[in-house]
Amino acid sequence: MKSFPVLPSSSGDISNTAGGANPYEKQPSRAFWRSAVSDLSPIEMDGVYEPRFQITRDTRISAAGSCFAQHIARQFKARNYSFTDVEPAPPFLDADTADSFGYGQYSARYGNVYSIRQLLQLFARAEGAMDPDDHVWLKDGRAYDPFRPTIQPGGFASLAEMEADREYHLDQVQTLLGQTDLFVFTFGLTEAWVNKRDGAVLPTCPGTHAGTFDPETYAFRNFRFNEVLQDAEAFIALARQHNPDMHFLFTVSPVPLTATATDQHVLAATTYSKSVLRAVCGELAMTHDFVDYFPSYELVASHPMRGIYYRPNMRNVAAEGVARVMDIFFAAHGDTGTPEPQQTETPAIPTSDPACDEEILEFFET
Amino acid sequence: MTLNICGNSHTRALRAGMQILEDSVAEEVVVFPLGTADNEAEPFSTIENGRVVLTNDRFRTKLQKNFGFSSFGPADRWGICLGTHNYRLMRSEAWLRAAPAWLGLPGMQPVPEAAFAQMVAADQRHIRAFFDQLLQTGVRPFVISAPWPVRTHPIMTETGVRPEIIKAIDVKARALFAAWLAERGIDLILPPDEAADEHGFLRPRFAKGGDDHYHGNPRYGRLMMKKVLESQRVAIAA
Repeated sequence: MKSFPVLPSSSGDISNTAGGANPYEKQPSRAFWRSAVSDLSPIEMDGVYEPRFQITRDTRISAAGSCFAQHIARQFKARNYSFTDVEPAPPFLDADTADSFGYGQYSARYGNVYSIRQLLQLFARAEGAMDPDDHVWLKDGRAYDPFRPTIQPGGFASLAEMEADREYHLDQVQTLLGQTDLFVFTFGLTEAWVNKRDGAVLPTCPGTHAGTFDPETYAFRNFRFNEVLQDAEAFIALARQHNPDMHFLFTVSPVPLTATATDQHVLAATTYSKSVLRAVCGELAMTHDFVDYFPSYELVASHPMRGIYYRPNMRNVAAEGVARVMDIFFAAHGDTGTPEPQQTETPAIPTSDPACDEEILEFFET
Repeated sequence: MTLNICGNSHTRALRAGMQILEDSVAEEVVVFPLGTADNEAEPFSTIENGRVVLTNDRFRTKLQKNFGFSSFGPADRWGICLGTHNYRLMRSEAWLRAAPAWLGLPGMQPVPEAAFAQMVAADQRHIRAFFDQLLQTGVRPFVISAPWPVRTHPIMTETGVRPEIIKAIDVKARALFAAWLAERGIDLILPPDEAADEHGFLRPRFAKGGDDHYHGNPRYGRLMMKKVLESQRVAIAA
């Protein structure tokens, strides 16, 4: 099992600092807005992230999360970290095709996991503790997995094919936590659609990619701080049953909501979502010394960045922004090398944008 | 009009079969291989001056030497033996852990049909490009299938990949290619049923044998060429 050297803490307060007229006198320049932000261009900003524990190439890393998390997973692989993938692409699929079929994006073929509740339920399904009411969505004679509706372009050829694929998928997911030293999760949204009967969280709204929206069956949920926190704590407890030394790296996706199902403006709804998720990450990091927070959200979405890392739609993160965020992350862990294509049978890393299921919502704007 | 038949190494058995049949066929039928199937893994053709030329040196040389052509033209009659040599898809140890989803083999990673179709399309992309070029330039070819897979292939006998997986890969790849050809109005001539054993592999009496785990023998070539000639309405004396 991989040990994690603990680095000097940077998250404690300064009230016990001895000497000086006041505690701020001993604070480094990164603690002051003028020297750390105002006097610098966004690309000069330094020390935004100081790791709490070291991640090495021996650390077995698994990842899940919203679509921005695909960048993180790809970078770990490209830099030859020990990235766990329990469901690699079948043979002969080229990189782009494998990516379009959801292989290699994360540590298994589970697609985007937007909420920690969805993650928790994924492992519950894998362990047989949850058997959701939503079994299959049929559309144009094709079968869709309600919990991975975009994983198979055009759907599965038959119900039997989908069931076989899901059974294998969940079997692999069940083995994942036992092969993980560090679990990386990127929080995406607080908004979700759930089945009223069993509370199963769906990654997409029924009736968008597939399925049929029935208000008697499905309900909108906008998770609150306490719910997200409790789910995260439950996931941490579950993961540590498999590996008592499991560490966690949490991030918040800087990608705004494509659309909100609340009565709020989408900007306000996005701010609510991201604020809750950011606060939960902070809470978790303050509670557990085995939890670290990486500020990918701040590095892209905060106002000092002036939106320079977004594409013109102010939603998609430009490749330069992704590269900048990843460089900061890996440099903080002592890795200043450039990512390399993999030399294994796993397909090479696609260069395309990550697959974001929720972008289909733009289609429904009237 | 002369019937020209060319293709990968499976054309050798057709040539041997044609030599057996030669005396009983009134029309001129010329059969020669262009080269081995590994030449298909890279682009090997293009269109120049409205005709399809072969850019692969070996293929081009063989076409010129054996048929006297430097290109494929619409006035000629062509049977092409390409596109069903599925061993590139089969011979991977990955099939020890993965299986076509439609087989429903427990414990194996299911490869969905749509993903498999992508694999086949990728494997055949240069062959498909060649046929599209032929059609674009007015050549109306037909396609002659390679024999059924050979049961003694090391991917099964040495690596241990299950025969039903190999067979399923071959059957589906042929079906996908046949559908692709049919969309373009190109006929695919499959091997004769009597050449297959009860599991769908090439009967040993039709396999080349020895260290060759890919090809049919002259007996197979004769059987297949009879089917080819019948499909092209070439009369064969009894």
